[in-house]
Amino acid sequence: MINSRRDSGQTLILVMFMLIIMVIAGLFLFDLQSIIRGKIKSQSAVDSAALVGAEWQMHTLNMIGELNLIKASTALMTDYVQGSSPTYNAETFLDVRMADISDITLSRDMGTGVPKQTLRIDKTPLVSNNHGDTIDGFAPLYSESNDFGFDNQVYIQDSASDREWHWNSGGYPLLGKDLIYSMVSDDYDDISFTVRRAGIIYVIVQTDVGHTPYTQYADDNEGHRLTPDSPTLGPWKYINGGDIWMRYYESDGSRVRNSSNPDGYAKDDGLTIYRRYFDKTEVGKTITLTSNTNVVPILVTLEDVKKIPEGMKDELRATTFAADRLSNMQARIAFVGPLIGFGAAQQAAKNNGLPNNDDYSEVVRNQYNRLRWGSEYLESSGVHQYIPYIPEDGRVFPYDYQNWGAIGGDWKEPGYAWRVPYYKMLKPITDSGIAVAPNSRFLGIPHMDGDTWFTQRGYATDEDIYNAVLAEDWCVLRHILREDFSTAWWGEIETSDRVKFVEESEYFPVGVDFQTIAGTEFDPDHEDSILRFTNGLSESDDRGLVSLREQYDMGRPYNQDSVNDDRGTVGVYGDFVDYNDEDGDGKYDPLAYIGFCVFDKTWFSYPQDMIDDWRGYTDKDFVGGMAYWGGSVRVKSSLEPSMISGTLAKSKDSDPLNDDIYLGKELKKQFSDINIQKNSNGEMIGFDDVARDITNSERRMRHIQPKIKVSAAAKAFGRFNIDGAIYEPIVAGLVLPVFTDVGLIPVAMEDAGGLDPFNVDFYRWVTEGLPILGSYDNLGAASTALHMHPHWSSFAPFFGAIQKLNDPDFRLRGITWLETPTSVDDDGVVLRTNEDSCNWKSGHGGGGNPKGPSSLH
Amino acid sequence: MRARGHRGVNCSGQVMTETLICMLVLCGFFFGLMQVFHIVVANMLVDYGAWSAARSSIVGFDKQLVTRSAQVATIGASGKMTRGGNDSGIVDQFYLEKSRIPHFLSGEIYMEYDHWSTSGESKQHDGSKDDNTRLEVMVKDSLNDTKTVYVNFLQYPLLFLTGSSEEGRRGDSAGGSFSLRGDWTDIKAGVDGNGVTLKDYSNIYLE
Repeated sequence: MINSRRDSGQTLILVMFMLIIMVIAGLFLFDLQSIIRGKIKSQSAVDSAALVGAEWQMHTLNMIGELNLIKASTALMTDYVQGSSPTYNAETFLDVRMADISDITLSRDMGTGVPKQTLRIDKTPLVSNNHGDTIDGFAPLYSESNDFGFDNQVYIQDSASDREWHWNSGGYPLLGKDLIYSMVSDDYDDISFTVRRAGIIYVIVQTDVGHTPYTQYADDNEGHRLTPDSPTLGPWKYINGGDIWMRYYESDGSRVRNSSNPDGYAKDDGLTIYRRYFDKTEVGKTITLTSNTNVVPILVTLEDVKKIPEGMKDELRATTFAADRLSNMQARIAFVGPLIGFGAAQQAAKNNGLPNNDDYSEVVRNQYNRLRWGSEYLESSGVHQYIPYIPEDGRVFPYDYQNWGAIGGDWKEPGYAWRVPYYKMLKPITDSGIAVAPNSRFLGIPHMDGDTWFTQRGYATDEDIYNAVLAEDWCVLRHILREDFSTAWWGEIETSDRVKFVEESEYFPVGVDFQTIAGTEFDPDHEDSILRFTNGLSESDDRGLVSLREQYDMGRPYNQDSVNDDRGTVGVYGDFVDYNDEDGDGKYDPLAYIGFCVFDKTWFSYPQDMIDDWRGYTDKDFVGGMAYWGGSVRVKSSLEPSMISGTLAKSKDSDPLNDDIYLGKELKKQFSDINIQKNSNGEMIGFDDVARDITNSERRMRHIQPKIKVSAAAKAFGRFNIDGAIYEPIVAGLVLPVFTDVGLIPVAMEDAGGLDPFNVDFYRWVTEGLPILGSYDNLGAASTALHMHPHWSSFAPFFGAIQKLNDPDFRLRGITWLETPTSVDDDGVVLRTNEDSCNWKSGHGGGGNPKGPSSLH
Repeated sequence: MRARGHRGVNCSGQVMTETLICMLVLCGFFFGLMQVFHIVVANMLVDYGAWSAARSSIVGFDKQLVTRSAQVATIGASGKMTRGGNDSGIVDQFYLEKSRIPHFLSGEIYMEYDHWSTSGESKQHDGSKDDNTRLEVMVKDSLNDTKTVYVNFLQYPLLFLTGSSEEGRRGDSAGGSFSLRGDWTDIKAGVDGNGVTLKDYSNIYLE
């Protein structure tokens, strides 16, 4: 019995042993499943966030574009005064400019004094259709079925005039298809663009179409100039301003599921979640379900439209003023649209299971605090407080801009005072927490300067190099290992602020700017001119179009210098007109002084080498008009999965400088004198090498980040169709509402690189750690200083890599491996070394061609 | 005493026999479970590989790059690293892979694992056994602007079940997520091996 019990005990031990192994295997499976599901869930979340962000890029750009078109219409309405022929300027503008940047047949009808009647009559004016056909107070303005057609034009007839004024609000089926609704008032004086997103967000851009109460003089119909005796015309119409209403419906936070809560996620397969996103109906339901309560008004900017006062002296001034008001609205949209996208992206990510990320939230909170309380964003730091910024001396025509306020009201339109609404908009998003990091262009992202190869060749700010050092990836390091390490090779490192304020939302920036022909005569040859593209399009000549400079005398019909001078000249509406005999055509500048919202330098056509590269990556060509850089958003997330074994490999006290916590270093202390093994040359070596390897493995084990990091990019797509030819939207120069689609793109396609504030640890290392390192010429002293820094935990892995790279034995090991022969001929000549394998070009299983980006999603 | 001793001997032999039988059963059970774990892991990673490849495919990447994406996602079930490694330990290999995968994806360097053969050729490693395991990646355009990606490990080895019949080695797959056929099995991604289908966005900007 005793023996039996003993043998049974052995069996029991065996059973226990097996059970333990099975439990470990089970845990491993659990962890593996957690990682995979977490990865899919995270990717689903960032994909949805990117798509939502890009959708709001599309809305933002289209709204800005619509307002650009309104400006163009407004400018053209002043054509009677500006030009000598009722439509001369307008025709010129349309022929030369709009014809080149837009659908020519469509643009011909826009805003001209003499609209194409056939077009107007033949098409269905939605004004009448919209009445009585409303959805929740709004009627659809555009339908999806009429891409680039005429069916969707909106005509506004000025009943007070015997002329038929027709104002086209855009003409394209643009603003987000079925999401867009229009509300047109009975007297056709008001028109609204409304972007509705069921249950979560809507935007109203409301413009007020006004009437001037005064009479203007027409031209003489022959002499191409205005005279005091010209017959009068009826009231004219212009856009005198507008309002933007935006509301942000914050979701019910209780529905945001935390990945660590099994109840929130375990029932959902990651693939299901992912697929669910792509079913937009489901997304709509998801978003709708987030509740329409807890309404947090992000921005309610309502300035009563200022009526142009009686006695206005110059419609050009009013035109410019109206354009400024619209520029003001565009500036607001450039803040509000991307910020809504930012907030909606967080919502989309949370609805797909991503929890808030403390690091990201801290980054946004810090930026909010800088914006709210700091001095970096103030005038004293050189940041314009009104956008678009108009220089003091920027408006000398037609009258002294500085004196406008004295002529009959507050005519000075300084631009959008963005700072307060910006941080007010940011606050509810910040308070809700940040789940995914957006692409950003923060004010003051530093530039790294140094005096050694380490900084000058970009190694210091290349995270891959640090990873390669930790990985002992000799192939990646093969060039660095042979650099000069004789002195303080990291050099004196300094940072300087580089990125200026982008004058739009720094989150998901759309990349727009304002260009105003100000302070100078219009110069069609000026490369920054709004009309610059008209000079470069050969299609103009093909269609018999003539450049403005060919038709336009740069002289002005009236001497603006005489305005309000001692002779009492008051311009075209006054008693005296000082006609300029040197002007040959009686025309003012064809576009008056209107600032348009244009694409900034972040928009450009893909360079040919990039097109070639992606031709190789995709084996396909780009769709015509789609090969442009801009309008994209990128988001990323970092999620710590619920792993059981993960805690075994992670230490909160990960400290590469603390010798006491490394087993290897302890062993080294105890057994450093003992020779325990042979090296490759057969020589006995001490325990030091073994201890070092153990320590290195320990260090790296502790810095294995069990975080799931994923990213995604999406983009707003659009293009022009001009006479059957396809053009990229940027060919227009100014933003026009042509964006119709949103889709995911490869993250590597439009990644501008650079330091990312949301890559928190590395950003801290570069901006805070490297300057400290650069102030010391030995690593011992630097380590002490770095250790004292509150962000030491962020510095630790990167400084550990610096220490490792500084170790001659480490470098020698790498060089030895690289130079080790792998192929020798009969004469002992080395044919190949390990280093040659770093450039393996072919073979099955991967590597070689085709080349690709370093991330394939 | 003798009788007791005799009983003891008999008893001991009986216990040893019982123990041996128990151990055989337990070992069989144990290795069977390990085999199941092994297959389940491979199955999970193949599913993930298909999803990862599909994600690459819907943004327009070429079939070969999509295959690369699937390969990287299935590294955990791809066997031994046969090229690109440096015969180091698990931790070293982890870091090496972490560093090298981006370069491998971009085609700068070469990596290979036991089961990454995509062309179906037989290869040998360790001089001991034919390894006909293949990673099969197929991309199909589906209806409604979607793409379906199939990722399958064909003839995936069963490490703990060997020496089965020849017909098993011929292995005509019977469908399903995986099917046992002698000393190997086919492991297919998705429900009933139907792969992963995602919405295709590349047709917006790629011809």
